[in-house]
Amino acid sequence: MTPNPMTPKKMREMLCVPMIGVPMIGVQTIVLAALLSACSGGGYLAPPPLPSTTLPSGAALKPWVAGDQGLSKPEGMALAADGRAWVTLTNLDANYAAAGPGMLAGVVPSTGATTLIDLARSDAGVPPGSDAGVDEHACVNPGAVKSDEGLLLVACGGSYGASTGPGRAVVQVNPVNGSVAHSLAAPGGFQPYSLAGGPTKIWIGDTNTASLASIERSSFALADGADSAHPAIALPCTDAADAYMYVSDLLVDGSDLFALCSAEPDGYIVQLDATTGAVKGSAQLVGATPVAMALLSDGRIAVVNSVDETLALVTRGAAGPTVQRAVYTFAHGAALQDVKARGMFVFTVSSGTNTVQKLDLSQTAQSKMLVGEVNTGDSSYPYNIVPLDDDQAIVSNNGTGVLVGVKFTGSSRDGGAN
Amino acid sequence: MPSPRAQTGRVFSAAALFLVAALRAHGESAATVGAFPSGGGVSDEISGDEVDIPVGAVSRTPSVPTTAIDVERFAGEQTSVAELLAASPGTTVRALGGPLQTATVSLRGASADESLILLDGIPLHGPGGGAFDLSAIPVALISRIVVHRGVLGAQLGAGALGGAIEIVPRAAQAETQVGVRGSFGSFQTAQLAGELSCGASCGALQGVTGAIQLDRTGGGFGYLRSFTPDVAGAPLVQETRQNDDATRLGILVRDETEIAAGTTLDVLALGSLGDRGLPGPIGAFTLRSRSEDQSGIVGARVRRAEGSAVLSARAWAQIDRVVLNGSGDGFSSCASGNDRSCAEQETHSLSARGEVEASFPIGGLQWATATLSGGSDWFAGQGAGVHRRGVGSLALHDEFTLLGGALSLAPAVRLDAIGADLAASPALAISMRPFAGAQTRAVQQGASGQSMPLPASMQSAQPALSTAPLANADTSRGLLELLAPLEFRASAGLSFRAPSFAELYLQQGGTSPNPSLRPERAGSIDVGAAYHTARVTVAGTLFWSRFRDLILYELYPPAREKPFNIGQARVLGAELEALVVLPLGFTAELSWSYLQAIDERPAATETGQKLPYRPPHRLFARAARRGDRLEGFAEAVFSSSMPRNQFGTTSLPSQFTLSCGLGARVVGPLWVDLELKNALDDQTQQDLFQYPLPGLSLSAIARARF
Repeated sequence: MTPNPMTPKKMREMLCVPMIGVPMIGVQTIVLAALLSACSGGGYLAPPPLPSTTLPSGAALKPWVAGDQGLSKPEGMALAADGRAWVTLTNLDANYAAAGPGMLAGVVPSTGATTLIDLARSDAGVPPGSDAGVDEHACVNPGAVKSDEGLLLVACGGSYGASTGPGRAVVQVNPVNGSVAHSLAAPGGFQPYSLAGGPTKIWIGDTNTASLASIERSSFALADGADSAHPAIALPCTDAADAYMYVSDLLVDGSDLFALCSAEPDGYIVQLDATTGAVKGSAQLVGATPVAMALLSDGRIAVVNSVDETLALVTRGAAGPTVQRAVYTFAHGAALQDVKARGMFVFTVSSGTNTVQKLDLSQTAQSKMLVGEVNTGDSSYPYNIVPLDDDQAIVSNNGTGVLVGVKFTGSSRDGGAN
Repeated sequence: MPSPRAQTGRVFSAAALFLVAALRAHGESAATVGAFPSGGGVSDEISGDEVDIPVGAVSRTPSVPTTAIDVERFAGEQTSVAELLAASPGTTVRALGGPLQTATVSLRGASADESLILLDGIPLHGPGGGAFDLSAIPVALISRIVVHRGVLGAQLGAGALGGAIEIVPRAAQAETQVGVRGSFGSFQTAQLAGELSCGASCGALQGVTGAIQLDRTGGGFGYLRSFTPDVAGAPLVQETRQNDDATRLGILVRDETEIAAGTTLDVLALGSLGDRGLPGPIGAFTLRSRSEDQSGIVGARVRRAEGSAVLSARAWAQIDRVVLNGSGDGFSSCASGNDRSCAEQETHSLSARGEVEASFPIGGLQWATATLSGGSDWFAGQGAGVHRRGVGSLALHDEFTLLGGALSLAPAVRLDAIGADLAASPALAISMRPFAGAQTRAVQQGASGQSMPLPASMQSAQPALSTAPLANADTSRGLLELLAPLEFRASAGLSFRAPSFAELYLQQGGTSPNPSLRPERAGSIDVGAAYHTARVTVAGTLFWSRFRDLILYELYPPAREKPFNIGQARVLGAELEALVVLPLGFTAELSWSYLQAIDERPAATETGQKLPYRPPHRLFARAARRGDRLEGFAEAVFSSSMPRNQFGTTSLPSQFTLSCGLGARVVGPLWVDLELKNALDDQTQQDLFQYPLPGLSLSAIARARF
């Protein structure tokens, strides 16, 4: 989902600059190693992640009703510049009803040290630990999380099944001090599902329609979608099958914004101007229910389609994108959930088969693309992946509420856990 | 204190016995004149056995492709309704695992929801009105299964878009019979069954039939799986299925009594109780999930002859309760041990109907039937509230013969009102027997003593060779007689399926309801030919169907699915079936189904792709012997590779299963049989949703009837 901040290109852009503002909170070794590796162009080896780190649940997630058992059910994950993996914890109960505020957990992969941030704290200026001015329903059911200019952006979707309701918001988090920097309620009828930070705007994708809203970076106020004079941007995605459609992922690279209109059966990618939201060309079919995309080092975009179990490659162009569909087809029942990239390697997550894969997209023959596959355990339902280096990654398991470390050494069972 | 389940079972049994006793008391005082066999009006085409033609019970599906499967032919086998259906072309059984686990059937590429299951004419539904689980009907309670194929809403009621499967319960025999049966086999699977059919020697109880069957399996079959399915050649690991044990009890009581001159009362009561583990698919095991179900059906039908006409009235009620324990929600989080996710999910449904029907000849060459029915359905489920909808229908069937009985036309139309959904289902069926001689234009003496023509649907069901011996024919007459049983037929129909309560209202197991669903619609045309004698039956059919507004479940982020009227499809197919009765008690049979089920949903990724889980080719072949001392069978089922999704990106490999058995009558009426299923021990077979199927299993069966 996130344009991987740790691809070599991105890492150089991010780290080969003066280290102003880069947090040094017990993960200095990771950051320095990554910095040295990336700047020298050598193969970076991350400290081995722990085999398993249990994410907080229950009372630790501050249930609204004492005794309620909110589950972590991790949904989004991003690697921040400080080396921590930031995971959104939906805090839903077993019936997918919100049990408490949306939470964000920052985990050091090699130690399991966990920081927990309450995303419902509309508390710019409220010191951590204080409940003054807190609306514990301001962020409910958080999903996507993206690294953005040293901060984190989180989309809070609110309760499922309700057409309106509290908790639909975009939250900006400062991972350094663990506070909510900004929190903004979504426009009426809008249910944030995906987001990405652009040059001047933060783009938000809807859960119920193929449309985008935006937030001005400078003021953190609604722009597109704010009111009838500033309507949300409708994506030009064909809906011939009369299917339910939503914006499953957004990605900003340079001056381009890419949006996935996800639907079963037909899902599309749309290329837009990252500043204005102007559409470039037309929407292009990528597959059935595209759910995530990642930027490759050659500038192309890898898209995973959850329902037809394929990976597509997208090439941008001045007149819009072109798509190579079904470049790779996964095993039946994959139920793909995520893709991240590192160079020309992509790391994919199949919750249906409880597996994660590493593919080498520099290969042209599908039979040669699969580098390794790891099983994360029965009923683990892996949901997101973040590569730590070319061979190691951490995976958030939605079913069991844990982060697992995996190592791709070819086919291996039960985690290839470190 | 008895459990609620046990209490419910007792209520069903007590109610059934009370009803039988009450009606019998009335019947005993009535005069006994004539008899109307029961049967609900089924057509018989291929059964391998002599067929009794019910007098006054005109088939509702004349000239429609039909296959009858006589359960008695499989008496020496450990079998189920789902397994028996493999003998019929046009069927695709989907079984979620081993013995006593959920099994549904798809007809002609339609979904399981789109095929009616009728028990003596009473439509059976699964929880919330969805697909019926065939494992809920113990085989010991039934005598025949009749598979009708095509869009048959006009003939059999809304919902029969792929066709209908009529389960014919046991009926009383002329002679008193008692049968017992027991079996034990792999996976700790055991069965005990008993039946009683009261003939003349039963005195006051003549006409009563009772059957009971208790099944139990411990589960735990072995299978092979890959932990890294994307890796070509990755090793397969041996695993053992867990939480797939099951227990089921089925009871049938039936009584046929003549309560007045020319008037017959037929009462039926059936109860079924089940408890089973729900093991879940490979990799998403649900080791704490269980299902309990109780269902009961009570029906009564009165038939009376009035001159040449036959009048009938019937009423029936069906009640179901299903409880899911520990099934979790969405991603089956129950496996993580959270208590709330393992809460019970309970649904109840109740249906009641009344129906009156008149069937009468018109002008000597025509039979007309008018049926009026009405009633109500109730449904209640946790989180779904209580819902009720009225149902009513008016059906008109006609069947008239021309050209001296060689040509039969059977138009039919039915108006169904189901809740707010109102629609008409028209149909027309034509059959022609160009070489039929006078011997096949039988005139049937009616119960009233008047002479009336036999409807063509009954003529075609008769084993023609029994009335047309070849041995003493001259050449030309012999050829005509040889061709006399040849029948050409064609039929067409339009119908619909109303959304089920579950689709409209039930939130369960990761699915959300959609109250704004519309009915699905379908139409079909088929043409075929059949040749039916006492020793040889061959039938072939070509068909074409089209479906609109299909209800499909779609992903509803992040972890739910929701139904929408978004599907369209067309199906082109062919069916071939043959049965030959050989000397020395041998029979050989073959059925082949071809399906080209194409997705027509206007979507770039789907249009033109094959529909998933419909094997393009399915072949069933069986050789069997029934004798006085020895019996045995060998059976092969082949399904070609089929798509596993509607995008053509993944497929399920072809599957071949070989089964065989051998038995002998060891002493008196006692038979002992041994049976091997999946004799090649293929442990890689799967069905829907990555559910593994059992490998080799062995059963020993003992039975006696006296």
